[in-house]
Amino acid sequence: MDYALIVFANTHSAISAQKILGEKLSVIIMPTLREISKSCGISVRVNPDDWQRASQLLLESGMSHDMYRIYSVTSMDGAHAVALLEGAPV
Amino acid sequence: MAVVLDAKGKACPMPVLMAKKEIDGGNREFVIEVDNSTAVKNLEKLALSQGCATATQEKDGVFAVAFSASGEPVPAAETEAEPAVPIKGHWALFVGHDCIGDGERELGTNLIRMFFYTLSQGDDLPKAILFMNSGVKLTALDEQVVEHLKVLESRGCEIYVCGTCLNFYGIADQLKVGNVSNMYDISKQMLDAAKVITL
Repeated sequence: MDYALIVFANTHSAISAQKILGEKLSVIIMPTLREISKSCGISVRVNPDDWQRASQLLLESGMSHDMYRIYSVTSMDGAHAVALLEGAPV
Repeated sequence: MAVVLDAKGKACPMPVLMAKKEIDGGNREFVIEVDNSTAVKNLEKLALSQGCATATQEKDGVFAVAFSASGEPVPAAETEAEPAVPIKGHWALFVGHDCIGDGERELGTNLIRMFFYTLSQGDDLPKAILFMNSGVKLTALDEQVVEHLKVLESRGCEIYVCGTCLNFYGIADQLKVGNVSNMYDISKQMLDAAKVITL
């Protein structure tokens, strides 16, 4: 895994998650990968070791668990291999 | 006395067609009169492709282009002009805002972060990135954008940050990436680029 990517059901959740997580973790805002569809265009990238902590922080903030999903992302040959780590599959 | 063709007032490509007809008819020594410099350029291009030389004289807004035989025809492919705006190649990015577009500021801030993320991951990089007005805040105050700009700089992009603007916003001592620059350098980068994308 190169990084974990948190994708959201809507843009407002993405923006508030970025603020919540940015206070405690190192985060990067990035466009949702083309390989991951059916979520809003803004995603939050965190370090591979931080995704469980990130999920915990989001739940503690009151965000509902069905508002986000977390993927592992590994880059290979210019493409991305993505695998669902947490959240309901689409 | 050479043949004089009157192509004054005729729109492109008529003057070229008239000259071509004359050449095709076996005459390579003639004068064609036109009234605009674009027609002159196109006639010169035709002459080159047909192995003719030209001499142009202007009087009272009328250009007399004299054709004469000389040398070998140059294949058309070698005389075709470059497209005015190359799709790929040397381009510049102008950033005059610290967010993308008008509307909700928070959204615009995240859009510009995502833009620089995407740019830094891609292969088609600008030669120069130019920051002015509130755009300069990105190079000093936005940690994420600064990181992406460092990657872009390490990959060969030149980053020009308007010193007047840094000064105006009182953040000159907080600049984290790029070189402090001025209007001369920034405008030169814009003029030198095949295209400028403005955010």
